Amino acid sequence: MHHPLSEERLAALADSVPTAEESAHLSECATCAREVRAYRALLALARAERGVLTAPLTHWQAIAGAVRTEPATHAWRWAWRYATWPRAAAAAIVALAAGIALGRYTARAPRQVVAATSPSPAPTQFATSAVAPNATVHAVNADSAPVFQSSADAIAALARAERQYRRAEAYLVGTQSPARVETVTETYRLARY
Amino acid sequence: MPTDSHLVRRAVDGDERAMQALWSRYAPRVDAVVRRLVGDPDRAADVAQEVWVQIFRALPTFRGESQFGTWAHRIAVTRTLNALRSARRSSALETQIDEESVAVDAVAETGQSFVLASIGAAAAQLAPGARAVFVLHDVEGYTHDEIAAALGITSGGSKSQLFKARAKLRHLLAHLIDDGGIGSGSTPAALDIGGRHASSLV
Repeated sequence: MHHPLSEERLAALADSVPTAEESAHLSECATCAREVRAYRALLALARAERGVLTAPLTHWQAIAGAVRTEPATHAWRWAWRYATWPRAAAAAIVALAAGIALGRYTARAPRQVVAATSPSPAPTQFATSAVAPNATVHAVNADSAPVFQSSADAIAALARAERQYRRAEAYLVGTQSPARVETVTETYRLARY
Repeated sequence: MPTDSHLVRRAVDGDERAMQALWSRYAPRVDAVVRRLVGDPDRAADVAQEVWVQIFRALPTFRGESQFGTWAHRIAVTRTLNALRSARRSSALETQIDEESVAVDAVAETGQSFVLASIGAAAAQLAPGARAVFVLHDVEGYTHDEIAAALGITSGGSKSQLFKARAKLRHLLAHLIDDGGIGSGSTPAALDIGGRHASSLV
């Protein structure tokens, strides 16, 4: 007897509808009909497998160890990306306060110029010292690098930033879990060194 | 018993006990799909651990729009397929399936068809690409479009691999299928059918 159905087509008929021609053949050919039933049985076995639960392959201690040793930078990035908005807002406020403090310090001499600086779209405003023609030109844009007159100035700024950091840390301890703060501070240390 | 969403919130905050509770609850299901996709038990254990680390990494992104188990299951499938790719054990996923790898003669070569205890063990004998398609479609219930997207193949390629995988498994599991009374033929008859269609497989 001629068998027009390939093995792959018989396999496909496990969960698809035969054409009229195929149906006609299956109604006459016991061999092919048996094969289709076998493939449907195979499919039933496979679907039953979905519900089969076996002992886990993994051990919790190994997973916990791997999670604990996650690079701190990952945790920091996630904290920033996925922190709820109050936490993000608190962090932004702390960062803004630190920036203002540093800005005031580094722009101490031309403070009146800073105050007069308009929020124009120009990337950088220069204090070209209309008051003192020979004064040094300082960039006073908030994104500019601070200008220090001496090592003592730089150390003082660092100490000020350190105090800001401590205050921010204390604040975050009160609003976040200790474990996360520890991670964040560790990230800070890594970033410093 | 705490709900999944409660455990997830605690786990996001770094509570290890909540993470462990989630793992205990879903490891049987998640590890099972990894085992089925990978085949080799030792390799599967390594991949399963990577999967769980990935799940906890991604936990802050879980928005509760689906069940945690469903979400974790998706990560398990994606991560496992990536692991298979990176290990170059699934080169057939990106290219045409190796016709020889699903040939029926594998049954005769291994001689193991009568000792196979489950469809999972039989599926482990498939080539990685064919196994992935079979497990995802027939076991896990993915559509061909979803499989095509996950594996980087076409929907037609997914179907082709599936039918070849079924053809091989049908012979590997003849003792279960034919003796189970669902198929009315005996094993020799089934093998005869296999021989009749061998030209399309070998």
